[in-house]
Amino acid sequence: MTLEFYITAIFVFSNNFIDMNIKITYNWLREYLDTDATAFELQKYLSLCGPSVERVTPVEDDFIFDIEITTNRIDMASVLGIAQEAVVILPQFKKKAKLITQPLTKTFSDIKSDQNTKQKTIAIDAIDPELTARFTGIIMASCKQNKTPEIIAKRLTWCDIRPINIIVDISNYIMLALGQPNHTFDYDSIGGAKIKLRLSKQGETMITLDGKTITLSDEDMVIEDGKGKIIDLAGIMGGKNSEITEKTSTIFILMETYDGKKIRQTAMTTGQRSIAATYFEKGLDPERIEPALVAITTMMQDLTGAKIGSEVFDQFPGKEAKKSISVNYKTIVDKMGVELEKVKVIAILESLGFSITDTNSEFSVKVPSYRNHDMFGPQDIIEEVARIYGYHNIPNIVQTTTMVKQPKDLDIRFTVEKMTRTFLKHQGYHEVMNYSMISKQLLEKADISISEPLKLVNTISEEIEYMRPSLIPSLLSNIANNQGKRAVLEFFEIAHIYIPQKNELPNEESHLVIASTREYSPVKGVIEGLLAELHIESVHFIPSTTNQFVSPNTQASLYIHDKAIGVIGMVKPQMTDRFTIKQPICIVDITLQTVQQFVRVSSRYVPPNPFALISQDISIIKKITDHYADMVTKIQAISPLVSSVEYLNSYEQKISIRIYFQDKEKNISEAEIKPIVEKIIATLSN
Amino acid sequence: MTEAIRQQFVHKLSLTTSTAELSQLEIAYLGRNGEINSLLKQLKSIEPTERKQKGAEINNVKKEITEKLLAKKKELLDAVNKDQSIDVTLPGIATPRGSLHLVTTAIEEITRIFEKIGFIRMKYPEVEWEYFAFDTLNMDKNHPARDDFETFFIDQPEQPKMGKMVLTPHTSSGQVREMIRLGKPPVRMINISKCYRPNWDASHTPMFHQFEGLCIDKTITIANLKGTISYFAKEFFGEDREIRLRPFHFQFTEPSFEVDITCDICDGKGIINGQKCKICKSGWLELGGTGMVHENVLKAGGVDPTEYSGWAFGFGVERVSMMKQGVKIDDIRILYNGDIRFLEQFY
Repeated sequence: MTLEFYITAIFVFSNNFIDMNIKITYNWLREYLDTDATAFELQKYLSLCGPSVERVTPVEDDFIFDIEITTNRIDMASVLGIAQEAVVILPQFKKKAKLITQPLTKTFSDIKSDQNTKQKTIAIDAIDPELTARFTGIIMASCKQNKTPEIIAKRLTWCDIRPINIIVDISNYIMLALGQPNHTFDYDSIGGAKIKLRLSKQGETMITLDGKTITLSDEDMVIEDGKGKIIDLAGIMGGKNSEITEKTSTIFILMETYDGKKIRQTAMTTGQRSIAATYFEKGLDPERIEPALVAITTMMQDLTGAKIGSEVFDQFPGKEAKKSISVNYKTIVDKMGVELEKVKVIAILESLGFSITDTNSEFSVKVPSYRNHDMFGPQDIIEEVARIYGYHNIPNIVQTTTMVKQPKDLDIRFTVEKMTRTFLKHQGYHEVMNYSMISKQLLEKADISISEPLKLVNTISEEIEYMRPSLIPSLLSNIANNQGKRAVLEFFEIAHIYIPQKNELPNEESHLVIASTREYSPVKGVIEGLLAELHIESVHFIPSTTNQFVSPNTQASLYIHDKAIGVIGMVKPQMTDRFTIKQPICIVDITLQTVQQFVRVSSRYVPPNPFALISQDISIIKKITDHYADMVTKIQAISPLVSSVEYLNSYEQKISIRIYFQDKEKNISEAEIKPIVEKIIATLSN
Repeated sequence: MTEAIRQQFVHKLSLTTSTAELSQLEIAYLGRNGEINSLLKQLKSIEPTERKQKGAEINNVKKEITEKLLAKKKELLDAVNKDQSIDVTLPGIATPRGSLHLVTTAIEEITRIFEKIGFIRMKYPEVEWEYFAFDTLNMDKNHPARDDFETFFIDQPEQPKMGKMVLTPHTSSGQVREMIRLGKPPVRMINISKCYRPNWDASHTPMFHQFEGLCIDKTITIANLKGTISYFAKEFFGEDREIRLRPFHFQFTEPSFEVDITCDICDGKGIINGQKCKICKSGWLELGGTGMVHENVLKAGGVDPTEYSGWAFGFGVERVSMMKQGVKIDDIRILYNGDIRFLEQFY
């Protein structure tokens, strides 16, 4: 797999959710389009102003175009649709382009029939306009199953459709040529010569053309025959029980449109995808059924010798009124930022199939039916003019810079996060990013109740079911998964935890968590170094026992002044054991959001004290329950001359401390501090 | 007396082996309270007739001592210079070297590039209401992006106006929030955030990062959109890279485009060494989606579309980062599985 795969696969900027690609061929296109543009010129020019031709693949004497169709332009998803675009776009690049034929002007009256053969009939139940806007069919008799002409079979194959038999091949060929899916039933397999479109019932089953048994919900559309058999998963795939076989000679052709959302839902829940479904789910133009039915019947007559076997059955409750949009000429050129002449604007719109009435530069634009679903207001008209004019003709100009104030707290937050990351990196720590969602199993290992965190309704994996209420479980997993790969493991992550709040969005709190296989002391040193780097004063490590992840006797709560900011200590052995971590782990969890309020980004200057500084080392016995921090407090309380206290080392029960003495106003002598040192030793020894 | 001092000095000098000892010797003989000065002080008590001759003697000795000290210092320093030797090819003592996540580095660079043209980095909720994720972006209730297969929903009660709680599927949810925050344009935002969608395979992770540019002001045009994205592409990927816009469709921009950037592998030609370039599509790589802010979105943010216009784009951080670095990752799930052998390579 290459970069390309990755690039095409992740959609950004949202909602290209149901994009589709179609394949057509260059020679097929030229049956509709008279042009001197080569296949590669077509690719280049169409991509700049219209549909993206992603690839051109030469094949025999032809070229296959792989074309991306955006969800709003399903009207382009056919040979005819691309030809209609090309007719407008190519002349912008000085290429000849003319439609050779316009099949969309055909009406039912163009179906050539002989009254004598129209003997057959089918009863169609009244349709529900919620499910379909138009439901149309015709019966054709005496189809001879000739061999599919080679050129048709080849084109279908090149366009990723497997040739099956002449009837099915014609059906598919018309779909690609005109963009109207249709289904051909073996007429004699339709029980009672009767059909009905309805919603399925929960638990009903059917077998589709590909031989799969589908279990239906109560929301799928199906077609049932007069004997109650389901003969079609509507809009998606026909039923096995009514498929065209080599014995079929009478067929029922069905052309329809469906509610797109229903089709998509059924395709997703049943897992049955088909090309027809990708068309139907976009919402098709019901007006196209009429010319498409003419085209398919003509092709059946020509290639199978079939006769028209019935009237056209046409239910069309969803007919839409012709849409008209008003737009001002000046608005069009202003938004484009380009002075384009009025006649050119009109010419572009007319070539796209719009009809224009111009009254004092206020255009009234009539929309062709196949653009009804993507043209809503003036901005849509502007887009049409701009894209055909060509975005490549618009200059690159960075707008004038202006001042917009960033909220101060965000500014500090990003600065602190950056300083923290850089500092930790230079101490040898590796930044990790974990998913914001974790599993139930991970929560349980970390003794977190599953009632605490937010839960996803529609997760796709147990691994990512709950929004993290703590980063610690993820970091412990990181350690566990990397054991043995490096002698020392030191990770950190800066990310949100999600604290649920009633009727509101959760509080997304920014945390820093560090996990290390080193001991407490070097990790604490790093935290002290980090807080010093952020110029934070009054940092306290207070012994505590309340954190659920950390052993009580190794645990300190971190405070800045009197504000709790986090915890440090050795992870409970029971927990490391559950994570199958084989060595002690030191962990730190700091609420960065709170730390932020105490940060200074610049240093503070204190003039050097010019008077003598005297140091004195002492060693005394420290009981296991004594805390060094308390000793320092006691020492400092004894004399104002104590300027600072430094920890030297510990050996068995003995602790060595260096004390510095200095006066702010005069030099002091060793003799002066001697009694103070004695008092200190006496106080600490008690 | 003078001669005795001289001899004593010569003897001591012969025993001196370091520059530190030499400094001691200099102080002892030439210092303020040194031997020579004390001899000179004694001159006062000497008969005036002898004083001149004695004085000359002392000065001679002082001169000799000064010279000998200098010579000895040179000798000692030369010896140090000659003796000291280091294998300069041995490695130094290693300092710790950690690493920053690939995505972090990209986010910092993106932020810096946009800051230079006056865009402020913002941050908006990852757990978001449907209202900001969809409704205000001109995506109605039936839009396919809003279904179970495209967006993660949170198990929390639905609100009348805000709708359901979701994990934001894009950074565009910040668009209307930023308009509301500022009250009125100008808007110059770069919003970078984690986003989530229910896809998990070698080329998708359920969590990923996007950066969203939003610019609203009087007379913002397509030319400004092109100018800004072109500026970004050249800063981030290199001066020789070009962009193009292709017509596309998004609900919340009109017109909408996809931005392509020239491929660096084949220099935008689509052909390399006589073969079709495997990385790009005919010389172009897709960068992401963009467009002019839809008037319904402006209205949702309380911005008058007759007075103001704007552009917006949303690109994937992981994607631009990999396009830039030429890091070919065949399974992108490695970004988020915390493998030290991956992480430590980015510092």
